[in-house]
Amino acid sequence: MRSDFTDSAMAVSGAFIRASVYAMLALPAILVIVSSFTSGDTMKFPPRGFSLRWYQKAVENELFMSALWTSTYVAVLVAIIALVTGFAGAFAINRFSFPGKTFVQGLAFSPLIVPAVVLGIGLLQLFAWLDLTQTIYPLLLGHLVLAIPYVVRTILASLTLHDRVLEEAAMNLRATPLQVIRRITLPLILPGLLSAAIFAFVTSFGNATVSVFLTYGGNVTLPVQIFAYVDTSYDPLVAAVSSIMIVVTLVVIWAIERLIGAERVA
Amino acid sequence: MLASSKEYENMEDTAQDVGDLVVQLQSVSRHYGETVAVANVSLDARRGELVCLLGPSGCGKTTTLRMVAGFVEPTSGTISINSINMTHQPPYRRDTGMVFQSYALFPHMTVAENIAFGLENLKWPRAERESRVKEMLKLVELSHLAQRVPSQLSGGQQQRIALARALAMRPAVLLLDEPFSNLDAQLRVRMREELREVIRGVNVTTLFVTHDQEEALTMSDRIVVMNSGQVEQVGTPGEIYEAPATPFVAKFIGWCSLLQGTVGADGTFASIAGLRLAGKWGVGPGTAVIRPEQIKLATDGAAGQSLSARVVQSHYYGAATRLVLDVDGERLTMQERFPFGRHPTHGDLLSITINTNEIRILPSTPAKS
Ligand SMILES: Nc1ncnc2c1ncn2[C@@H]1O[C@H](COP(=O)(O)OP(=O)(O)OP(=O)(O)O)[C@@H](O)[C@H]1O
Ligand SMILES: [Mg+2]
Repeated sequence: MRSDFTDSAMAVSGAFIRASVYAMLALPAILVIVSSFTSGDTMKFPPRGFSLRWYQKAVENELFMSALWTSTYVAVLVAIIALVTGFAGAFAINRFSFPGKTFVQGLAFSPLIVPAVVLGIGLLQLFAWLDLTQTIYPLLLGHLVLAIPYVVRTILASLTLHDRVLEEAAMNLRATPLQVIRRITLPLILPGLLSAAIFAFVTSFGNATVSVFLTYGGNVTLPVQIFAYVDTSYDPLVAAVSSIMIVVTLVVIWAIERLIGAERVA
Repeated sequence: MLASSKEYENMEDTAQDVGDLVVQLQSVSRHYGETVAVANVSLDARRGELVCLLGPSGCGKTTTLRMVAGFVEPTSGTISINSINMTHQPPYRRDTGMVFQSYALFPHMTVAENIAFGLENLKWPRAERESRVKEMLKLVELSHLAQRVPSQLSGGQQQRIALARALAMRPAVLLLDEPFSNLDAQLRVRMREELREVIRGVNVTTLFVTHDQEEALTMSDRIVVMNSGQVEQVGTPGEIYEAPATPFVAKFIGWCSLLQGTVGADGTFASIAGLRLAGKWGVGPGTAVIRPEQIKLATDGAAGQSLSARVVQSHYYGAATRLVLDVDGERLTMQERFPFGRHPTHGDLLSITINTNEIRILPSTPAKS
């Protein structure tokens, strides 16, 4: 009886703590989304009235829309490149021994020791020296440096848990190494691939500290643009833009799941 | 379980004249650093033969089997399949079908997809693939489970699917690594009989790994007894059981008691502790191999030849009781059925006779071929 009581007390408090954590995490986003529908001129909670006027303004705003496009474009590229290189890296660490393996592994497993700001400045200088500042590469590279370690880590964890005997069975059934990867390894580590891809996208899409140094040809990413805007004015337009950003993130996560998930059926 | 094995046999017929040795290992060794997993092993399997690798844990059975499949490369020696040197070929170029200890069914594919997997890699046309999958499912009598995924199958069903998947490609050799170790005792015996029937039905050459001597004796055409990486003896189940070549084989198969001693000029064996066995063996030092069934309780009429034995251990097995006895300072194992309630216990004194006619004495340091 005693343990029954303790059990239920633990369960209730556990549920309570979990609920509060989720609420705390979601609250800022909810606040922003709710206040973006205001009909007033200031960002306030609770909002005054209901209108879509700030959304209309946001969509009409050339600066925000091109920044949104740049961010999405870069983040999708980062997700794809990080996934491919990250898988290659994780596979190599998991399967082979090669000189410098511990170093590569260390890179993947230690958190980024260089502050993001320093990384941004460093990349800016490097690319200025290479005369490539007016290209997308600095931005891509900056985001990849942030995303790849996590991607490697996630996929490596999946590969470690993955049952190698299944690959041997496939090879015994005449599958070449490439066929084994395509038909056995990848489908079985799919959950890991999914979360890695989503993480890479979100890292790039939401990053401001590195991106702020690496704008190219007048193209700014959305977070940078929001910072610049908030610096001078504070109206519900940013709330509307932020809400759009949240929606885009959700859509992309959904698309990634559909896209990679579809492989499972094939 | 022999539903439709005819076609398989027909296919085999065309390959009959390639040569009779399907698998051939010549002085194969495998080292892991200092550890010698397999040392200088030579063995072969003829067409349609069921050869069993038998030995205690860690003696190198799995390593040997994995070298045939191509997952482990030998440190030295050659492996041929159908007279073609395969020593350095990758697994997917070898004509083997393997049933893994854990079955290794692909969890993200249905039973039918699992069986079709090898056929797809062999580029069979779709129609032939489908009919072959049906045929294999029928062979293992699991046609109704074609669309299930492996996690929805029992252990015995998974094993049969693994067998069907391996046989679907019509491999030259079927490889099995302790296929029954994950099944409970009763199912194990049933699956053993089924498996043997299927293998006989399709007439596929089979290499089979086990550490269970009963499994080896009942299933095999020939047994290869291994000990610490080496082959101790190769022979039919009868030869292995009746005429063990080394004390190790005698001990490993059938709970024999081994007595160190010497055969004197009169042909009588005297063990080190002093137990004497009258007989006509060749003079010299040797090891006497005494089977449990060669020791009997003394009947009244045989008082003259009986020996006095003290019970050291008593294990009840239902159908029989296995006793470890102390006879003149030697430990002997015997097996006997006692009436209910009359089981000897530790310390009891018994009167026994030993049937010396069938006892073999292995000369010390046996010359190995
Ligand atoms: N990859 C490896 N690295 C190092 N040593 C190994 C490796 N594989 C096997 N060994 C060693 O080789 C020896 C034989 O191993 P193997 O797996 O062939 O034994 P086994 O006869 O199949 O035993 P069991 O009945 O327990 O399965 C063992 O001593 C084992 O420790
Ligand atoms: Mg083994």
